[in-house]
Amino acid sequence: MTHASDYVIMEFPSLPENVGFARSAAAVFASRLDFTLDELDDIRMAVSEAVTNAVVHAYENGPGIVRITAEVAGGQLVITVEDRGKGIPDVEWAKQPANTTAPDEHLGLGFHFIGVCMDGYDVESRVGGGTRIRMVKRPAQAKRQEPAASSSSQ
Amino acid sequence: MGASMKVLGETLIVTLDGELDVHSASEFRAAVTGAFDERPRLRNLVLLMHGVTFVDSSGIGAILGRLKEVSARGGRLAVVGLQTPVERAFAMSGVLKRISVHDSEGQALASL
Repeated sequence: MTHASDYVIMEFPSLPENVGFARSAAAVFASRLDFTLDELDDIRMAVSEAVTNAVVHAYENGPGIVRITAEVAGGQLVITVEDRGKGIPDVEWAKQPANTTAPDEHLGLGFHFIGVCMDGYDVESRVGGGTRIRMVKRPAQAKRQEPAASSSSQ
Repeated sequence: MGASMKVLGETLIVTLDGELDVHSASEFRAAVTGAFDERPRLRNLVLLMHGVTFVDSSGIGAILGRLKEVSARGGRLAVVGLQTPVERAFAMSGVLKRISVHDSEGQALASL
């Protein structure tokens, strides 16, 4: 397994059809780390939620561009999903389960799912400027092999 | 996502395949709501989900939307055959308390 830095960048129009493509492509890229099948399912879920957020909330099902950067560095996966949509006025509110501004049958569980599926995530958003969701996950196997703050051998 | 439907008395039985996300959820919603609108006698819904490999929160939202629809008709919803990742999505969303999950179609029909 390589620990060298590697990345892919994807950009596509904000269409619901592209959500499936994005999560599959992200999982294929992620599989170069030693993720289990369950962990790859988690990555698929997190990317699906982040991209759906861009399509449904940021661009309100209208035109727009979604950009995803997936990066492997230092044995961990970092996925960033960015849009230039309307932005989230109150990120902390939006992170709470069941809080949503979208109508219809959207549950407002997107950030909750991302939080459960990834080791960590943060959200930067500017009203009228767009949103950037950065998500990190390290294979559990690697976490076990590198216990706590890896002490130096010297 | 594929969906095929059959009617058994007051129950609509829908077989789903593939992935249920924001894109396919709208097709799923339209298919089920259309069938209910055409047949006023229908009040229960059974979802056969053995062939579903992925559900995210949009998919869960669409299923909860159908639960509301059958509840408004005085009916019930039962789901059958959740693959591991799908069951995990159900668990994460907290809907397992509200939706009855079964191993077989027969079991689901008996629960209605």
